[in-house]
Amino acid sequence: MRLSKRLALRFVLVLVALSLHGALGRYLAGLDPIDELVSGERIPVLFAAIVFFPLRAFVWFVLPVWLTAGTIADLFDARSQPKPRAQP
Amino acid sequence: MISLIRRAIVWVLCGALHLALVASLLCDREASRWYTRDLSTQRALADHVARGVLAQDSPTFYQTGVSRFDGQSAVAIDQMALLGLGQIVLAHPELRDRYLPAMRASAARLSDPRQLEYAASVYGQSGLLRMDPGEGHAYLGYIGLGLGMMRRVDPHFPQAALHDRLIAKLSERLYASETGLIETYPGESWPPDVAAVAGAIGLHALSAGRPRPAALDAWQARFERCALDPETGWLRQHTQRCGAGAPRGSGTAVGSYFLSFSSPDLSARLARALASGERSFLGFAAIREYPRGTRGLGDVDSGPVIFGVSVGATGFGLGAAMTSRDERLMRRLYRTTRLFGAPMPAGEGASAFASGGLLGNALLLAMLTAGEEE
Repeated sequence: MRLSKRLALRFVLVLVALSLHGALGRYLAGLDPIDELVSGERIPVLFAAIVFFPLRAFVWFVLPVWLTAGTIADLFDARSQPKPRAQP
Repeated sequence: MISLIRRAIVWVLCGALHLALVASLLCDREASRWYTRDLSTQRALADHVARGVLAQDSPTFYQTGVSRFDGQSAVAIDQMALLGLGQIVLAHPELRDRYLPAMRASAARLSDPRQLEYAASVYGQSGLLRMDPGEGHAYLGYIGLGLGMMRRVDPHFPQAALHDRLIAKLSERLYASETGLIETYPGESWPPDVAAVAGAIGLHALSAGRPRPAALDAWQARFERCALDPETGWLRQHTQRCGAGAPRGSGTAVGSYFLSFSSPDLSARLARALASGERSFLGFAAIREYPRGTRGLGDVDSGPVIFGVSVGATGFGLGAAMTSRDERLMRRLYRTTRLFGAPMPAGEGASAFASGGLLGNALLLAMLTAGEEE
């Protein structure tokens, strides 16, 4: 895959993860999870919490490394590729 | 092969750099805003808490069916909302009208005997209505602290007479106790609750413009002898007699915050002792629930205990760090609070810790705004 495509795909995946993280976080912040778990909408809140916290750990600890290290490694690889010879 | 090795080296270097910097990069700017009492940061969380307490129309917030938990959690929400909002109004008087309605709603609920029905069920009557000789009613320290902050913001509030009566009765009991301890419920003595009683007495004097009662000095000496663990300097959580009972991080941290209203020197000593229970990983710090070398389970006071540290000790530790102006500890504890609490926009310019619920957000508001202006 071309470098520009890989970069674009990487940024799209980052945007998707950040959007999902933000949406779930805002949903949980807009209600009282304790009250909902005790006497309200248990299943959606439980599901949001179960997805949100691992996703938060991923966004904080894995995503930045994947984005920077992956991009830098791709750039190195692209530079070390032999350049196509010019046609005689 | 060379490409794979190079890729691995880049990943390891980036990973190591990120792990070394992630805590400070993602958290320290916000921690500094809390530490320096940045108005917009405080107001965003205060708006969320104010909205939550104003929306409540029954005496308790949670209906689990366990009357002790339902009542105590409601008292904690209203008390901490009053303390947090009051601390903000004292620092920024222009916000008084914004938060007074929420503070009045919380004060009205705190003075309603239906909120903590558990107390009435064990004593036969709520201490808000009557305290018979020999009865401790130390849970009223929480209510006294909330009403004390209400009085500082609004000296002519409707519950002033009740507040005076509660403080007079609690002072009588506290000063007469040979151990410096009084019971919270029959047969149960909890030093952190007694710290709340002392804090309420100190805040009452402050709010009424009177000097701190001198009798608190003699009480403090007796309290230290019986409620402080000499080895760790931590507060005992639950005690049956003078000098007995295990010390705990959550009780020490919240006790340090409460005592900042009445006994600043003891409050600062507890905060310093608490810092010895700090555990950290990658710059994220938390406070041990049990001192080094001891282990135990979590309960309603500490919240979950994970790898020896507890939610309660860490959250209340923020208040101890704020009142003792320990910026390093506050910043490191806030990193963990931000990671697990997850502050998020909560509509209309407000923000809330996503995992906290109203209880956690009210507690954090009081802790993160604790202490007087320098």
